[in-house]
Amino acid sequence: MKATRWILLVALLMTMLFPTAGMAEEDESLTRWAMDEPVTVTILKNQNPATVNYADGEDATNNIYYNNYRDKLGITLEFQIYASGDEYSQKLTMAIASNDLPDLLYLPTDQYILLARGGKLWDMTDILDEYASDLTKQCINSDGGAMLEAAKVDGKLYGIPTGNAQRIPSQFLWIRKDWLNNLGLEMPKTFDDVVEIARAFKNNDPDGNGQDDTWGLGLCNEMSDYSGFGTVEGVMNAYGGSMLQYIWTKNDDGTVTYMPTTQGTRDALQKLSELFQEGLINSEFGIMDADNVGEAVAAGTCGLFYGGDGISWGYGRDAIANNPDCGWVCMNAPSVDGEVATAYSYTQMDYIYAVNKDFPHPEAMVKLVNFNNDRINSPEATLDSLAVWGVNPTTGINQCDYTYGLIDPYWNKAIGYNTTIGQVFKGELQPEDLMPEAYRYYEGIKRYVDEGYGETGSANPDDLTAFQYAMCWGPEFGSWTRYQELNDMGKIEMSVYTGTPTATMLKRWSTLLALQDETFVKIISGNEPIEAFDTFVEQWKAQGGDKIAEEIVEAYVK
Amino acid sequence: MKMTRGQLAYAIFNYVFLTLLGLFCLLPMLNIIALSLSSRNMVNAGAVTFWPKQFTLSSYGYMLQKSNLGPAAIVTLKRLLIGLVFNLGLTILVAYPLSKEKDTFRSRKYYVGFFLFSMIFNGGLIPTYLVISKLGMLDKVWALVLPNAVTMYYVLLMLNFFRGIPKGIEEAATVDGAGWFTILVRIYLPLSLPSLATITLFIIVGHWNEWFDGMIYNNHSEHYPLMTFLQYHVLNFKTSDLRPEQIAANPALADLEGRAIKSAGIVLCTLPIMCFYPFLQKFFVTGIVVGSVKG
Amino acid sequence: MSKGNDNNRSRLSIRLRKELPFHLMLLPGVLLVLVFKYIPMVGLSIAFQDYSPLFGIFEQDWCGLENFRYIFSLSTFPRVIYNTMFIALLKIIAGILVPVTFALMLNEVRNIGYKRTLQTVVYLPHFISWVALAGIFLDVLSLDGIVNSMLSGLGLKAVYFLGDEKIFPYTMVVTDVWKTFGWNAIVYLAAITGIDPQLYEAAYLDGAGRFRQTLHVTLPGIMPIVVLMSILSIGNVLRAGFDQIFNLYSPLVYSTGDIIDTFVYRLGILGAQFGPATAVGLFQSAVSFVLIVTGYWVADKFLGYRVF
Repeated sequence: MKATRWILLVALLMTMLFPTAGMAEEDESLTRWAMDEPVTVTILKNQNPATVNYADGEDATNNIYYNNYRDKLGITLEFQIYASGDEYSQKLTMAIASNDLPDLLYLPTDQYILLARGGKLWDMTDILDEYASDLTKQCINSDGGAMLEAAKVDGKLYGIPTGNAQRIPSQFLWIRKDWLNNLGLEMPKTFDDVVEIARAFKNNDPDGNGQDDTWGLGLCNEMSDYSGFGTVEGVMNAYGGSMLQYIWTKNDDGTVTYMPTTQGTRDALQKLSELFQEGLINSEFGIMDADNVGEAVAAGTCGLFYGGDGISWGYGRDAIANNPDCGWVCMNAPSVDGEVATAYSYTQMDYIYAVNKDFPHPEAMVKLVNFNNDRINSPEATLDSLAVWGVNPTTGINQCDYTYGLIDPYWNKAIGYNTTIGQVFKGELQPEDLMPEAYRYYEGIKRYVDEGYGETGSANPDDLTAFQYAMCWGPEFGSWTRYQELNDMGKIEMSVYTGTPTATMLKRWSTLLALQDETFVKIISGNEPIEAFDTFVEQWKAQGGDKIAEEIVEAYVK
Repeated sequence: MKMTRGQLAYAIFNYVFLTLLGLFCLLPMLNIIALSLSSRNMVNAGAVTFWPKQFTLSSYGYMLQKSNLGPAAIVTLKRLLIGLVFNLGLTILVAYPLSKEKDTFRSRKYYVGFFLFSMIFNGGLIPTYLVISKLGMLDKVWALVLPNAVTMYYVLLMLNFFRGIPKGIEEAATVDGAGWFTILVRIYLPLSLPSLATITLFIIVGHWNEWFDGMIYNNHSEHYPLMTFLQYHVLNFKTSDLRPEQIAANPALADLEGRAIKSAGIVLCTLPIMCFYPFLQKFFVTGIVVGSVKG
Repeated sequence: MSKGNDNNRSRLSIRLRKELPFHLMLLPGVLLVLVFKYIPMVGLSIAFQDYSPLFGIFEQDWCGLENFRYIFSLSTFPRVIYNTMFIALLKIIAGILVPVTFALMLNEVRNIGYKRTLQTVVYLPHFISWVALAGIFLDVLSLDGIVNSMLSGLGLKAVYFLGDEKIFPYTMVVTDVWKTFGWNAIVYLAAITGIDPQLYEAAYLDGAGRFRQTLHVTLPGIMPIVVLMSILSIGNVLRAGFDQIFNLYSPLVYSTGDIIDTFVYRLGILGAQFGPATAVGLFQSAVSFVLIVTGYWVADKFLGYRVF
């Protein structure tokens, strides 16, 4: 016992006496945002602890970020809640209900507004002005200030939002290219072509195994939110509708319309129910979430689905690991009349970092953000410094998981990566000009293209990381290129609503969404006729929808 | 005794039917065990029925090494042991006075009313949570033990058993000058072993299987007991909760989706109880019967 | 007069001294119930408040019956009540018929080893948590699951046990009975052993076979217990099994599978609508209270069975 203590002490002294070269210089940047007095702060961490990896001997309260926050910034974190997903919202609800708030909060919009209106949060406007670094100010104004504007409650900014200035749509059509080839089919031009492909995939044994085991169009049961695998949004867009709960469009007379209640949505539902009737949709979709559809993708059952940019992560990769012939191609959802369908998006405010009014050091939050930005989002960051603070290239551990208050620029940095990587492939830029993170992606994509997979959409099963990068940011074929095309063609319509719920929404929205989810699933699965949609619209309006529309006009349009 | 043909048919029908019923109870379990011991390919291909195909222990290896099953099991053991002491002790202490008639224990009916009302009415989740949080019990094993330390169902079983013990024994002891405590400890408890064993089993099974309180009263999921862990981190685990980089960094996480892994989790979390209850069968059959239907 | 008073007082003090140990024994239990059951009941007042979690429970705006009005105005709520009662009643009926039948049949078995093994097997599901059982059923009853692959082996159409709103309530009843019938049979088995053997002899002499003996002696013999169990389970008509349904349902079957408890959970914990959620909970408790107390009273009055 005594001996170990001695060894520890000696080791400690050694590191103090003989700092490695360059340490002194770095030290300055680490302590730039130090607190005047060390503080201990209680925080909420929205993360599933089971999914975080640590190097040997490290844990949630002993890692590069936690230790530097404590030693260099003088901020010791104490986790009051540590969970993710539904568990996080449930625990947060309970903490708020019992008025047991921590010093620093990480809040979904509705709770944020509740607490802001209740006078429980610091007004951050002046604090940001005084303490935010130039880099931080750059990040949070990268979208021209739209996000900060969206985060204001009654004209005041009570926190630092996280999110996307424009959420990437989830209407991309992903198709098994090898199946298309097997059956001698063309890429679809209209939505009817998509239906034809679905019919062929369902009936003509595209994988050639002699069994009737393939789906037509893969669908999941999400009927009001984005989902990465099997969303119906692409079909909705084809008919000029949308099912996304965030989309309110402005009318000429100054009123607003909730897209899921429009004729386009109705037409799409009717079409989907016909497809279901014909057996072209997986019969169990009503109890399948995006992950279940993903599993079918990985298993080679589903080769046609609408989804997000995420196919390459996880399931698409598994599909190739399970079957090396498998190849993918991604296109923008076609409309019924052969155009690229208009996609809908909004300024996506996720969670908001805020500070409890009872906590005397609101600047601590801003200093954490500054510190993280210097490590991750600084133009001075290098591959070496990112290896220390970001993803460790040898272990693959992403140390950003340990941060608290990492605010990425609101204008998604991956769009920039996609553009610059594309320029490198066209020879307009040199690889060295890329940001370190983009350079890492570029290397993988280069390997992928050099090995000739760009044509087939397949991949080297031993280098699936390259596949992952290529399907997102690859030139010509990557999903982000599709996304840029949408933007260039002006085929993205932004919602007037920016995610800050109105008063009636806080009370009624969950009930209304449940009504929508249930009705849509039932119409598609044929449990209710299409007329149920009209009843839904009536009920939706009566149970608060009309009131909410007025409030949205009040808050966003006027 | 000789059987007529009709009686024989009746007996055969009986045996066949009952055997089928037994299988009906057993087969889902066997299926899950087989799934947990089969390779991922065979499971996904739907080839597994009641016997493992391409036998492998990899799902168990994953659950035991890579998941937080161990810490969760320790929380469960803790709540189980502490819960047993409190729950059993309080059951005896509450049931004994209430088993007396009103001429021996005048205020009995007030207590009965007090407990009966608490059994049916409750203040709901949020107010209960408030009390527990104000007492500083969040994330502590006490939050899983104390709120239900007096379980009326057990009290009722115990109380009815006590009532069945002949009054004469007690009266003799009272004449000898023994106090109520002495009578309880020296006479009642030794006579109540079947009931005590039954209630012990109930308490253990109850604590082992409870999951909801573990989720509500713990802010840190590393304090989850076994069933809460199973519910939230094995059965409801969604890879869509993860960010792409996390999966890229640790592909093993994506495996958590698999049916084989989930089955292994289920087996590991239920096996101890399954191995344990048959040994107490003799007790709980008597205990439950005397406690609940003394007619 | 004063002597009588003294007498009374001393009798009282004797009684007190004699009963004091009882009060002491009850004290810890009473305290715990007070803290963890009665203090939270103050929170039931949330049902009558426009509750905002930012203020203490005594600083809220009262809104009378507004929350109740809101709940009953929801198109989903009557359906939730109907679902609850439908599933609960079926469970109660099947939860008596099946164990009784099983007990009667098991009673015919003479082979002790077989009998005991079978009992061990049918008790098994009782000891498994709904969390784990849900995991099992979600797999076994899925379209890829073993039940459907057996059905298709027999040339039958696949059944959508957990996703079809017409089938879901029955799936709940069957899986619940599956879990409980063995355990619930214990009581009836015990009652059967209590039947006077002379009755069987008399029936035998009258020429009754085993089957008729079962029908005319055993069944009437356990009837009082059956009636008693039915009465005592009436209190459960508004509790259809949160653990089971919460772990097995999905939005697809809300229309037939959503019950009061799951509804309250989503409303209160996920939707943070504390006022309406508490109102529903209070409504449920109040109705259950009346039913349970009536049940106990009937059992006591007409069957001479004292619960307490």
